[in-house]
Amino acid sequence: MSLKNKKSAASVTPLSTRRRNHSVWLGPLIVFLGAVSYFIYFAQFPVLRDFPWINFPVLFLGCWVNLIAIKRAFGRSDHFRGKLMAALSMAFSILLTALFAGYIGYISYQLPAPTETTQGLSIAPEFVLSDQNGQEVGLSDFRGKKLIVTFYRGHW
Amino acid sequence: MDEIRALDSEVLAISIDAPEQSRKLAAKKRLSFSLLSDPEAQVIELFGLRHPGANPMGEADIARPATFILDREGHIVWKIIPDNWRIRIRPQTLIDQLGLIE
Repeated sequence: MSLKNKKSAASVTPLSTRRRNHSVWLGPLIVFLGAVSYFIYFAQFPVLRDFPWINFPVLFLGCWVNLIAIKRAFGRSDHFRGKLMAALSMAFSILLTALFAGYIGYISYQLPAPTETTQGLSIAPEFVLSDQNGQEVGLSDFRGKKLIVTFYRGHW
Repeated sequence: MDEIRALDSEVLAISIDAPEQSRKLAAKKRLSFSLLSDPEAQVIELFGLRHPGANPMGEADIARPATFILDREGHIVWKIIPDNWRIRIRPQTLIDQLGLIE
């Protein structure tokens, strides 16, 4: 054993007696839940869908918990274990938060500009399509009624 | 949906999904309006709404989101073409617009 190792071994509490650093796994868990809950739950509420008022604070909370994990692991390594795990979990949390923010603020805007065809339409072109029950439905079936025609991306 | 029908109006929703897929969606969400299947994106093309490259696995391009309001003669009197696929139009906005039409 080298001199350096002897020195640190003397000043540092043995690994087995150092406390577990729970914020190491709590941080990324909060971040993960903060991102996933948008898609599986919060997106059904229009106000929370348009802007993730709940998800962003949760993501930041997770990153903050992760920061505590880092501080403990590196600043008080005599008390807490897991430097590598703290660094990895911080990287995970930051990456996922950045991905989520990127999806909300950038990726979901990646739509083609409205075409001249769309802008130039004054009368809706006639069409006949099959509905969910296999019935043929044509636009002209609704002449005399007001109509909302909406195009959606679908499940494909 | 009842409010929309009370305004003598109907809803047609169009995507490239097969009728079978739409049937599941309508059952799950309890939708009472028509989900129309445009598997080759022909009507989507008619309205100029193809989103090229957004469906690399499938045969047809999916539609970019867009909503039109037609009067009783089929004139497009109002439309919205959002620039973000997350943000959906509020039903109340459509109801307000339908109320403005004779």
